[in-house]
Amino acid sequence: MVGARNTFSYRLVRVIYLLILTLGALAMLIPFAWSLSTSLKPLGESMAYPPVWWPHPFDWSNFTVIWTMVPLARWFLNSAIVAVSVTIGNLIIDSLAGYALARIPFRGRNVLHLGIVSMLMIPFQSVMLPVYILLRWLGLLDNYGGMIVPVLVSAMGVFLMRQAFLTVPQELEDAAMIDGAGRLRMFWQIALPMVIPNLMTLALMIFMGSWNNFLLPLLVANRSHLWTVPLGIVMFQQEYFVNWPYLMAGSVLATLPIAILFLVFQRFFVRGVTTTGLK
Amino acid sequence: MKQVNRKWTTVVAGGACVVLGTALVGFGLPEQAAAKATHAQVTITLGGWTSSPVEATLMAKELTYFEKAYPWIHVNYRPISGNYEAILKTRFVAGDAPDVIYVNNGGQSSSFMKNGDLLPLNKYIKASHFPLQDFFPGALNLFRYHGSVYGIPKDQSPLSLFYNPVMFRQAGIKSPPTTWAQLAADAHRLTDVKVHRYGLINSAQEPRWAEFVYEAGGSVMNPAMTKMTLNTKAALQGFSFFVNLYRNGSAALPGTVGAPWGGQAFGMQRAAMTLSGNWLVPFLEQTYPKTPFAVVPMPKGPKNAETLTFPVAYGITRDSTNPQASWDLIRYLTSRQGMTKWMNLGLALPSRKSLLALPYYKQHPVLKGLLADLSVSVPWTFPAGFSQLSSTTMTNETTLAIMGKETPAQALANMQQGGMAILHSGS
Amino acid sequence: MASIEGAGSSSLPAFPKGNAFRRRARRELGVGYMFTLPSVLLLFLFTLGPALYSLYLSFFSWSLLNHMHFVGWQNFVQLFQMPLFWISVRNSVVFALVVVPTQTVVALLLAAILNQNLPARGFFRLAFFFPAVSSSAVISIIFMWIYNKFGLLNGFLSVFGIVGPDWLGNPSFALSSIMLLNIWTTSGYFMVVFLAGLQAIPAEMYEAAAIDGAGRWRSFSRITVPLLSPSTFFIVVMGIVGTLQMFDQSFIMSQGTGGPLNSTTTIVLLIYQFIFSYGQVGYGAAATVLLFLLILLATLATNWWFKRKLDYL
Repeated sequence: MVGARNTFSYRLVRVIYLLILTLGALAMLIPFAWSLSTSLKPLGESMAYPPVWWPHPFDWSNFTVIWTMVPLARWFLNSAIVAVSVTIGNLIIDSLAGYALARIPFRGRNVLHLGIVSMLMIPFQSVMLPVYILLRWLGLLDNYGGMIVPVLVSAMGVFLMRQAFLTVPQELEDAAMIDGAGRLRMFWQIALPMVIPNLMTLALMIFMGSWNNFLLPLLVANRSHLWTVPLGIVMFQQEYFVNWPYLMAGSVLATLPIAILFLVFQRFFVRGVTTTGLK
Repeated sequence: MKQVNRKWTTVVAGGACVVLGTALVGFGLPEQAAAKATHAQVTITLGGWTSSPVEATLMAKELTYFEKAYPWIHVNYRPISGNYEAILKTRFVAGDAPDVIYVNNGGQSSSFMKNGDLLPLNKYIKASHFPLQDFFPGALNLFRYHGSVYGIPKDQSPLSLFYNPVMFRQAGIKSPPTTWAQLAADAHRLTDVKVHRYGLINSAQEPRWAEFVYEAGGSVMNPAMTKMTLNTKAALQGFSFFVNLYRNGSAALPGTVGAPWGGQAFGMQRAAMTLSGNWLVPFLEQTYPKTPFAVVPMPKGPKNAETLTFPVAYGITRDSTNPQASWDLIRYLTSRQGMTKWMNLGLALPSRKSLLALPYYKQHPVLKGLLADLSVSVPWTFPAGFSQLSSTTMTNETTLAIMGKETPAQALANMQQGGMAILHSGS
Repeated sequence: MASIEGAGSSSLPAFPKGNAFRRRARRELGVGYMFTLPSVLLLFLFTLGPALYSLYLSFFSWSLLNHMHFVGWQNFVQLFQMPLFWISVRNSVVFALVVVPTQTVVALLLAAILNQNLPARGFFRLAFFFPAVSSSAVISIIFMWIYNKFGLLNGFLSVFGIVGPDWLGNPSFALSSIMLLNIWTTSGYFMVVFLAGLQAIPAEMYEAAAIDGAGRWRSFSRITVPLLSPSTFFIVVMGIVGTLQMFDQSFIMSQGTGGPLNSTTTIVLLIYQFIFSYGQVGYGAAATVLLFLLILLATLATNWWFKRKLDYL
């Protein structure tokens, strides 16, 4: 095997692999780079054709304009409030249900499990009207609650947590059971610490999903001070005349926190996805 | 970004006025005190759409004038963003529509009136002796249903021809077109595909070709809106003229030059002409200040000189908890004085005949072409149930004709049939 | 093993016998319900209940604003006769048929390459993963700009002398443009899922294959692909559910119209339009029921296909 590493074909294949990866990575990053480039140009220059990559001079005014033109800071705050609440809620509710479905034998468990998983097949888009009417009835329109409560549980999350808890060795729990530990303690002290990477995955998945959610805020938040970042940007695009540098400045600002979060937590991200129980 | 700053200053100023007003009441100024005695403080909401940040700013400013005149009424201005009518509808369903809304021409307005989502205004009109004679009858009629008035027209915008005088001069064309033949010839001459410039750029939506149908002596529906009338020779003549401009390459759809709508293509100097309403004027002045433009009336057709106009009204929703205060707001905003203030902001043209002579229009001669078109314009609307046909089917059929996948006659026949099917199912 | 039920009932914890445990089991019943109650309640309120209400609504004619009245199967009959409905079904199905296999294959190839011992693996993994974590709404707007007639894509093509179309304004290209965007967004995410599966394959298997003289391609097709089946199943099912429910991108990029010429009208977008734009809630509800059936059938078919394939292994 060691000998094979030095052959010409081995090296050639590696170069080809790297080439493919580099082209792929470029394709992935260019759209973001392009939005950054456009965001730094005045309107006239942004429409230059063929496209010019390097803005000259750098025009930062698009950022200051969009920052004052629309309440972006407020939208960021809204997105954060909603995403954090939804994430905490899901961590608790999904793992409780996932644990019960994996570990506690009770009548109707399999039916319940199948039922929860089949909820994955109902797109939110198609139930938006009944949900809207319900939210109105609960008094949850035009406030954070309406953007949080309907997504406090995720069928996917329950499914993932169940898969995760199935991998926790039964012997550990049996031992605790003999010690007379209650279910809640077993869940909290034994099972949960074993699935922390899965919780991390779930948290990141739910956080991103909530941060990027578009339709629910669209239905719930009529008032612009309750808009989340993606909704605000789309509204800005549809409401006013198309000004690409403004829109791209908004897009850059909207992507920035996610990018930072992603870079900081990248290890957890990737490890999270890789340790997700895809058994 | 003067506009933005102005918005905040007006909001702040507005707030200050209210505070000051209340303070004065507290100090017992006679008139304000009387007002306080007879009127409890009320808050109403005004919902509408905004075409630009400028419009939102100007509306906020207009409302501060109102609150000064009616210190016991506070207006929460809540522009609805995105798909106005879709969102409005969800709010009707939820029972929390704003007290006062913009009622659009066409779209779902007819359904709103038919379903009783808007309050009939006759009672209020009578009680406050609000004369209606001064309003353009066509505009007012758009908001009548079974004899009741459901909206007072706030303004309107007719479609006129915007052109780029510099491009015309460079092409050696002395004056803007006044007839169809000139329009076609000029558009052809001004087109230079190599530099991505077209004579005329407009979208394929029906209000961009219907005026040609009217100018050929045809119509889209009969006046009572009980029949589609696109199966006439005149309709075909008008529609074909529009389609042929695209077929022979002297007109283009906005996307062809990377613009989302005709007005922006014009601003980008990719179009020498575009048919547009009043709203294009402030847009060009702000976003494309370097693009020279002038406006002339719609070129005359073989039979008539006609165009379309888009009146918008204020209406009171059935969810309003304070219809009287809502009516006070509408009455103020659509009164001669209120409308004069709104007109002086330059966003739209008046729905009152007497305001055509405003000094503002002498100072802003660019609006002359649009004003001239007001007297020959057909207020544009469709009956209830037509929103899918007008928003999708008609645009699609027109696009197919422009692409040459259907003849104009086929496209018209399909629209005719689609419209008749809706009318039959409704009756 | 790879079905959505996962490990299913076979992994029920075995209970030791004895009175204490039996008492415990009785108590457990309550605990099990308590643990699942919040999930069940919320899912019932915000997913199942509304879905059932949609089913109920599919038998009524209602514009949202008038009084609803019962029309029996009329909505379904009307829907089946409506060309626009079939256009939306075709768009959604074509979208899924193109996007799901493409993104799965792209993700698999990228994962296989990335699993080699190459420099800068961490960077590449991040780069490919990043689009998946970005907002679909923001990405849609960025791509609207790139797909502009005078946008970046056409600027790139013009280097090769190609005059690109107005991608989103041309009915022949609009849906493909959204497909490309979707593949671009999701491939990286699924690549990471594949990577997880790849790392679970013992290296000895490859070494054994190499000793037997198997080439790169042979060990890929004979070892990697079959052993990744569970991951592939997950990715395909997620892909089908995701693509058949696609809404954000076509809603934003067509400004809610599904145009040009209905070429980007997906089933979900049509449902949205029926309800909120055209005032035909019954049609929207009926289309919802049909969409649910479509997704169910597609998922069951995938499940069946994978199961059959796995039986041969």
